[in-house]
Amino acid sequence: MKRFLLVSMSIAIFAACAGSPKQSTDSAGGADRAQFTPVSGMLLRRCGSLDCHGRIYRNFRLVGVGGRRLDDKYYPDGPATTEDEIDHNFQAILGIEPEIMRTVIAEGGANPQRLTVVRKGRGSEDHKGGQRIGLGDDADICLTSWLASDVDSDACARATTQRLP
Amino acid sequence: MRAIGFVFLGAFVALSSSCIDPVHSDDVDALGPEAPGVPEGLTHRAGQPCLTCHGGLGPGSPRFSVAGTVYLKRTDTAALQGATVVITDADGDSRSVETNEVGNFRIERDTWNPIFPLRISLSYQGEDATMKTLVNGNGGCNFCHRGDGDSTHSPRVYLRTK
Repeated sequence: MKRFLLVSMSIAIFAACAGSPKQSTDSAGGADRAQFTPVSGMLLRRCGSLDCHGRIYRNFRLVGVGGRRLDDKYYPDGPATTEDEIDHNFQAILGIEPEIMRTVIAEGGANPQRLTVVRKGRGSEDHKGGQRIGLGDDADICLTSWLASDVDSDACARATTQRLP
Repeated sequence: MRAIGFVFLGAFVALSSSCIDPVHSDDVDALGPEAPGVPEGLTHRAGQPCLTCHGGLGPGSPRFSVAGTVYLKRTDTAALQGATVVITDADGDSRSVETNEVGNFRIERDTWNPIFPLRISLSYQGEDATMKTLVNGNGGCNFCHRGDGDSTHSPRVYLRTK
């Protein structure tokens, strides 16, 4: 009986700790990881340089090309941003204000300015980096369409490749 | 009387220590001593982040707004003398400055205090290179560009890849 209890406890503890972190973030707060890849690229381009959110000294930390890399063997200028780095960025943006993010997404992306990341990006709230996303520009459409669970990948691509404002 | 002296001494110590920024002090210490035979001045500490000391928190003076070191190639440490560095700020205002014999260049903040973000390009004898990303907050090039680079630093500022 004692042995059975011990084995059961071990299994229970193992099962509780063995969940893949990816499973818990794929739908965190209703945010869609599958649609996040182009958004990550836009955020890296607009916000993730080594002297801004590509540093470890920011609460909102982005990793990938143009900024800090997760893999010690990689450089800021290459190779391309990895899936692990996109996962990291996904968790980073969710982690800023998870409750508000959940609400915004649940309401179809309505009033995205409730999120600090949107306000700071648009420059409507004090932001050391100033305005990095213009209201209604491709980067704004990219981010807000993702919050509405219908990411505009074309806008993200343009915001990632076009000359910075 | 002695008690008053203690109070003044205590207040002095408290005020003094409150002015010390330990993070900045650590950054300055991490630079290490001057290289042997290189005096403080325009050619010292090539490749190091100039604004750590010349960014306003000391101990260096004058204060710079933009400064760095330029190399010929990404892959080695030969300095690029005589290159023109063009810095354009967010308002479209720009300045050009030439690199010296160790590749160093600088703009003193008293002469120009640009509005970030900055765009930076480099030219030398008909060859050009333009930085792909903006300089968003730190005018010390070697703050981000360091040596051969690693996962947290871009390689040195260079004209040619090879």
